[in-house]
Amino acid sequence: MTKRFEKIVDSIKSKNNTRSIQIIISVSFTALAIVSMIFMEFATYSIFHNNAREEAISSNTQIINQVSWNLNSYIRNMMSISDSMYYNVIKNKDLTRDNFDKEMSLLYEANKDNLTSIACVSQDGAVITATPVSTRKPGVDLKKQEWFINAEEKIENLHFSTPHVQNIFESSNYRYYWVVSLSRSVELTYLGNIRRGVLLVDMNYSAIEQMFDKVNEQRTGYVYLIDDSGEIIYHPSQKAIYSGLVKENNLRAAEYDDGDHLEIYEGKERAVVIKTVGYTGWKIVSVIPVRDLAVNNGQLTYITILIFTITLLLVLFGNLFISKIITDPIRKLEDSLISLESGNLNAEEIYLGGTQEIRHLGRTIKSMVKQMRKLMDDMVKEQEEKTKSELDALQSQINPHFLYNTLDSVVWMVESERYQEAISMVTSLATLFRISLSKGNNIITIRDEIKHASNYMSIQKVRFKNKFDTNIDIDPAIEDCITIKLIIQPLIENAIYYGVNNSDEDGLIEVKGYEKDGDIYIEVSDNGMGIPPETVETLLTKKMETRGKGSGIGLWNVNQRIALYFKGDYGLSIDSELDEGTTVTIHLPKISYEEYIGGVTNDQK
Amino acid sequence: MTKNRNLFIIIMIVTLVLLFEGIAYYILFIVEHDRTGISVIVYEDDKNWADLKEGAELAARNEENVDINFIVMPEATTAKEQKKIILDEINSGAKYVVTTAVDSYELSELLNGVYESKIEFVMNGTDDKNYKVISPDNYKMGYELGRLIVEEEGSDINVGIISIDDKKKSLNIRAQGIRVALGEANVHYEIWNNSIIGDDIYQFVKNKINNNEVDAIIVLNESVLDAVTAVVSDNSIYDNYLPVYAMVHSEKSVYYLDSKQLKYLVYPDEFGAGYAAVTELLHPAKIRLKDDTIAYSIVKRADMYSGQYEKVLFPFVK
Repeated sequence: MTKRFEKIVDSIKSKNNTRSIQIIISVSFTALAIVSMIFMEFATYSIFHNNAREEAISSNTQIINQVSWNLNSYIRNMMSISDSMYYNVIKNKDLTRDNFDKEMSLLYEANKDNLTSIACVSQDGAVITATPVSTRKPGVDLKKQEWFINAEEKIENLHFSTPHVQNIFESSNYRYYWVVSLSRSVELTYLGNIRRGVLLVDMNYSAIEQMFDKVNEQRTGYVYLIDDSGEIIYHPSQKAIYSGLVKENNLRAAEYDDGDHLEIYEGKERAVVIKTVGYTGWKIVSVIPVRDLAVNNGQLTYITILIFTITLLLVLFGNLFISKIITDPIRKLEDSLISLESGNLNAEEIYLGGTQEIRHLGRTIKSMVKQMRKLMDDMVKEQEEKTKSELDALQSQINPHFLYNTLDSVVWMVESERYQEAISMVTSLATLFRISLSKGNNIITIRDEIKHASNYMSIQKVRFKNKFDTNIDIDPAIEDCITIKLIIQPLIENAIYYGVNNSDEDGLIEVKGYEKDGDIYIEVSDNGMGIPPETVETLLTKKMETRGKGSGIGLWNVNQRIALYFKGDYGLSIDSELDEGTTVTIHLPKISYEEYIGGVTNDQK
Repeated sequence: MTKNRNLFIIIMIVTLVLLFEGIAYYILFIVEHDRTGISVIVYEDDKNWADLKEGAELAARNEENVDINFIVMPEATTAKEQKKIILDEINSGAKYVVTTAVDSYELSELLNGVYESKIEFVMNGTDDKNYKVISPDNYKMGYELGRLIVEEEGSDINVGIISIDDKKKSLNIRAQGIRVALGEANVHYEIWNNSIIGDDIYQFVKNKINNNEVDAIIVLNESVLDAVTAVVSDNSIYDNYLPVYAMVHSEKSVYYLDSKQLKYLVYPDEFGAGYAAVTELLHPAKIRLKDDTIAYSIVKRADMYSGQYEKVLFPFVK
């Protein structure tokens, strides 16, 4: 488990090490933008949500105020009926000779939409007058009814009951009326004597019900009405509450002061607005489940999410785009450096673009690469010159044996009075040395090089007692072209020592020069023993030690010198067959001596 | 090439996201959600079924996207006709049907278990237990009434139980509860059904009273209530009347209790039944029915205006 965790950590670390600037910029900016957006979205949503809630509560408060106003006016109306009946009628009547049936009836008719009945009851529970005219129920003791008891207990007050079924008169067509009773103690006059009675105004409950039903239509939440003890007077689900199928927090609501409150009831958060109705102590309660508010805010929530998503996409792609613009030049510059790292010192390939800083960086790197390149070129050139000098110096050395033997031959010729031959040999030797020196120039014409080779062969022929013949065939057209000095002589030397010297047959050494495909070829061939193929393969690739004869300068040396001076594919090639002979071909560029001199002069300039 | 491909992918992602959100917005806020249709099939006697209908209506009103449709059937509807009405409603698009079985046993055979998840019975169900029934505990209700009679009248009495409709399982179970309670107290009782009563129930009951063959009567059918209370009114004075116990739900029964023509009324909460029937279909977990049954009240005359019972007995006048 630990190993696996370590692996994951390593993997993440490894990924972190290889993450690009573009990724870092994109991810960082996007993360920052997301965090900011979430914060802003939450803040905005919260503000809107709270505003919506406040507005809903405010709207409900307005509705409640309206209901309260309606209810108050309804109650005041009922109270004014009671006042009017009492102060204008009952107080002015002596019941021993008057009745007030007519006045009561008129009052009822004027307000019958909101009234069920008006009755005046004596202290012993007898109905003195009632309207509309109905038969009193037998066996019903009015003194035991709540409205009567309340009026008797507090004679100075008006009393509002909770809704109840009127139980005074016989019902017609099995119909019963739910009423809210407004009762008060009244003074009844009998022959000038005052007796107490109770004036009862039964308000039609359906008027209250309709008032609230109308408010509860098409609104969030609902409004209900309770008395001061919390007992429900009206509720849209009243019967379901009575059946125990729905519950309401009415007892708690009775304890609330007027205003808005938040409560949790049965696990649901609800906004509750309370308004107390005057005269009665009833409370209008508006309940708005917060979840319903949220549902109403569904569109707002959705639009918030929509804006969030679109902004997120824009930020994401915008960041990718911007980071790409920023990092593309850096990446291109990096590619240039990778190419540089792999050895390509071409300063022209260094990327120059992007912002000012990146361009400056590119220019600096380019300048640096140019300097590096120049230094390296100088170093290479220096090295080449050094090698050239070494090889030239080596090439210029005269084999002491050759000199000793040549001089010995000259002595021998003088002693045997062959003065003419001695003069010729010494002359050849002198020419040989003159060309070898060439005023210090390494580049000479092919004519001089052939002359040098010819003198060398003349001397050697004397020394080797004409053991071999020579033949030189040079195309005159190439004689004025340039060559490196002393490159043919070593080949002739090898042909003499390793070719014809050991052969029993008459030796033949041929030197042939010609032009082909714009280049110059000089062949030195012999009819000697030939060279084994395995030796041929190594002659040009590694420095060979002399095998005791000759100048000790190998074919490798000549080949290296040509390569150093002329580059390209120029140099030596060897074609040899055992017992048949060997041909070594020098491949040179065709450059006239005038061209060469002109070039050198320009370089010096 | 790679640039174009990346651009294409980006455009596709943005388009898909916006398209998805557009569709979601359309579905959530533009398209009207399917409405659930519930058909409530009850007898045409509007007064007696008002509470049940009001309960069903309130439950539907408290839900979103629910349409409730009331269908009336005549008192004389047969099981075959009721089956047709039920199936017609379902075929017309009603998701659920709430009804009361006119004949528990025949309807059970006719329906034979079809649409058992769509049909719900209220007050009176079929003999098929696969159909949900919202009703009071009929046996317990009957048993408690039997025990009450013994308490009120003593055990040395003759009780006449009027049960003229043996097609309703709920009534049969109520009668069974009463019989068991009376039997436990060794009370003599008689079941007066159609075959015993004959065509003239008034005369039948009058004869029983005049012949002192009955000391208390139990009425299980609303349809005979008028006749029975009339006999009692004609033969009694208020303080010395033959005790009649009724187990019915109707405006009239309340009036008869109020006018002392009934001694006790066992009154099932049909409002609750209607409310529970609809809510049960939509949100079974939301309903809190005790023992899966609706409530009932056993009310005597003196208590009917008490705060506890007047809310049950008297419907609010709209």
